[in-house]
Amino acid sequence: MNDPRFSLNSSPKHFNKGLLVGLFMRERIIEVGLAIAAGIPVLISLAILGVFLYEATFFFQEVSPWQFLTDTQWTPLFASQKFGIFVLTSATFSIAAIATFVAVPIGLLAAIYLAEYAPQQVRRILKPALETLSGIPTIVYGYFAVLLVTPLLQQFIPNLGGFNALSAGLVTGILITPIVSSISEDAIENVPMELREGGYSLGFTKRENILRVILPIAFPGIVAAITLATSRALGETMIASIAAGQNPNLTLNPLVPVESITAFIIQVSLGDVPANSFLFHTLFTVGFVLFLLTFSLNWLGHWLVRRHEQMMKGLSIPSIEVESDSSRESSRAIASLNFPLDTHLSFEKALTRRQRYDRLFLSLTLCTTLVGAIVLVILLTSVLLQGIPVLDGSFLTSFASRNAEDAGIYAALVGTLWLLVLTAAIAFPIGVGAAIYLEEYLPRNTFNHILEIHLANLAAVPSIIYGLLGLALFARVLQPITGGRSLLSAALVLSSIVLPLVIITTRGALRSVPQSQRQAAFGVGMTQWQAIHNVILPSAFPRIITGMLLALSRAIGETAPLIAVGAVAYISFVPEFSLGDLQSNFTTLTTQIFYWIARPQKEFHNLAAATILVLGAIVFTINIFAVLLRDFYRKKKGELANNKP
Amino acid sequence: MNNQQAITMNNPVFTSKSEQESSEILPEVILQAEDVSVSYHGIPALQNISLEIYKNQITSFIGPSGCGKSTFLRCFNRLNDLIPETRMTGKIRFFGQSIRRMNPVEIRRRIGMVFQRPNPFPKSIYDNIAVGLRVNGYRGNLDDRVETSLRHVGLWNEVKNKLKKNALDLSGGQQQRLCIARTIALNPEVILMDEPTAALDPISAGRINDLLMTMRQYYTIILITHNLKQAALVTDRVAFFNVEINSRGDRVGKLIEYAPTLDIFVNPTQQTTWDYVVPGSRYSS
Repeated sequence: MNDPRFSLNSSPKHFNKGLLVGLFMRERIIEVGLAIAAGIPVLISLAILGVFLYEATFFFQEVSPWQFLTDTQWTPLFASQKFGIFVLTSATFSIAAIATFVAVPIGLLAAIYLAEYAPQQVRRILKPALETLSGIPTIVYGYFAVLLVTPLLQQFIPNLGGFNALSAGLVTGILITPIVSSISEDAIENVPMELREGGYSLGFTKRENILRVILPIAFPGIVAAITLATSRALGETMIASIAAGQNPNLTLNPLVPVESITAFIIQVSLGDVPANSFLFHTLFTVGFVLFLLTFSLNWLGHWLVRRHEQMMKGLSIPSIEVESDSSRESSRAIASLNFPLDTHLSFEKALTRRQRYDRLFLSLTLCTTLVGAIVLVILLTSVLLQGIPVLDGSFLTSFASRNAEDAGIYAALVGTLWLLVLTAAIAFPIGVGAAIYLEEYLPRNTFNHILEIHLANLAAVPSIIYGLLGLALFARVLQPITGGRSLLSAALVLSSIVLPLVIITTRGALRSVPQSQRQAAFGVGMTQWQAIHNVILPSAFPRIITGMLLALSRAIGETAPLIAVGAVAYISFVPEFSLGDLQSNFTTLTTQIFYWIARPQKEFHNLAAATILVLGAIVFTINIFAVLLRDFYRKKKGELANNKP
Repeated sequence: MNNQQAITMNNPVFTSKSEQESSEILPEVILQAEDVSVSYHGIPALQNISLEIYKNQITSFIGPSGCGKSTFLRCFNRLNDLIPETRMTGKIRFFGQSIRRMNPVEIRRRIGMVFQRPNPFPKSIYDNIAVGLRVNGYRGNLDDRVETSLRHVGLWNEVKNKLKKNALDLSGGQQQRLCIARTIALNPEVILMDEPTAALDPISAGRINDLLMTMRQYYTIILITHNLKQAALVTDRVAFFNVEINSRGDRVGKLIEYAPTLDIFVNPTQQTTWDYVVPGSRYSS
């Protein structure tokens, strides 16, 4: 032991025991803090459930469930009130049905093209182009639907109303196409390579392999994609309320104006609804119906996705053979057979025809994928053409005005930036803390799995539901703190919306840190938090940042919840950093677009287009930043991997 | 008496095999590789392989991991075409015709393949066999063909009452025999087998070996194996591959020796072959 080569002093006095006790105290405190953060999304779900049930109870004291389900009219704003929910759901469903009808074939064929056919370079351009479609703020789609698609459709269908379910449905379809395509693509890519090769080695053409082998295996994943996309279409608010109209009609005719659940909520939110009025209860009851519809669809979808992933993992793990009488018997039977099989096989010599089908199929999938890119280009050019002339320095620095020439977006721009900062400040610490707790502390049990699915569902709950929650909770119950329909309430609403997203992406980032790094950290005697703080977080950091930026770009595009929580059309001051100003009224770029589209004059539509450009520039900057960070990180990681011998 | 002995004794060709080889009257050449090299992302994986595959023989490829046996095998049915950035040079002739000029889909029907891990489709047992027949436009009676194929791999008695059950419910060995049945149902002229028993337990592997022994005189099979016993037991010819490190430091697969099985195991001409096939030989001297 006296060998000088091993002279590292191993005496225990170098390690302070008192430090250890303090360390454990700190560990406990941190863990409790993280657990509280993890409890917040659960609290939010309970709050949603509580608020909506509470309000619905009042509603059903006056209206019997029977009336609610059987009435054929919806007139809560008239003197003779009728509450037939099917009037609203029929509109919601017909818009969602049209959207699904558009999105499923396009999304599925695009997924097939991207997963199976697209060369790397093409994929690198087309996939982001397609996915950008779902990142565009829905208010922009509303603009697109009412000012571009409806006039276009009217040229072919003369008796089409200015507001109709058809155009809202078509545009919603474009919005949800990327959801179908990206989840289906994942499902297709999860099909193990061995099974593809199995198909090819039997002499299948590519199309035959896709249709006979790959798609049937990926089917549950594709169903999940459709379910989740449909749920998104059901909850889509801005497109429906701008383009489909506000006429409660019990009809499935897509050519006339209708009113969806979400459009009704927006319609009522635009006026000032006194709390505890009957209309207020109605608002929440309707919202609750929407919540139940989308929530159950989301559960189904996420359950299917998980089941499919597990099925794919379990595939082709051979189990051990059990010798039985019948197996020995059939083995003996081989010897007495005449080998080989009958060789006079008649295979149809139709390879040329089979391959012609293959080429047709390829062009079909390619063309549908291009549709996405083309739509993006049309949308961009039309907005650019309308917006560019208005866009100048004074547009950015003037307040909104009745006069189109003088109007600008100063207040809206500042409001949006304020909301971004506040949302980041509220949602990021809570989200990251919750993710750390769920991923690193909470054991991987059934409860954790259920929580994981639940978070995915919360992320997919229509944002208007959060808006209503904010109206009841942040703007009324917490009025002393938030100041009612204020910037702070809006920031809380946006934080609730992006919180599940932040948690999900952070969990993904933490999960991507290899288990071996954790073991190495524990191996040198780190505590749980030390390991997280010194090893895991630094390694997961770039992906966490990427997730945060994507969450912010989602927050910036929200319109409906802000209208519900009380964004106003006109503001003549810019909030500064003081409690009083944070408690003041607010407006944002998206709500400004909404109010301008609602004006009949074309000048205001141009202002809306210019605002869309500004909004787009901000979202684009955030996204580019996210992509650059991710690529930088991948490159770094790739270099590390290559350095391994 | 076990199955293997029973089969070999009932098999008249087996006993005359050694005479045939000694007189070197070689059977018809089915596949011919000429100076085949494959590179992956511009890095050579194997280089300058030339060999001939004879009709109704089992030829095995042996060699250490990473020597390019699988890559080479997958050249014969052009399965490497599906992997981006993979380039093959040289020529492979199938009945004298260059496979590059032929349609890959047609080649893959005529040159079947069985993989290391059993990969039945997650469909019914029946459909696993029927789907290949349907796609390739088989005009005969499907039921009969499915039954015959299953009988020929010794699976019929085990599965005849559950043809509509999912193939994934079968054991690994049964799945692999189903994959062989699926392949022979299409009446391939050559069957490529990439370590077909490596992922299986010894009993299942033994049964596949039995099956190979029965098939050997009727099928042209190329078999990759790490199991020297299997190579010695069931094959007619052996090609030994090894890894060489070229001047740029790439690990490149090379064909070292190609000869009748007996010669490889008893009388190899190359030292590296000797080192590989005789366990412990490299430590003895």
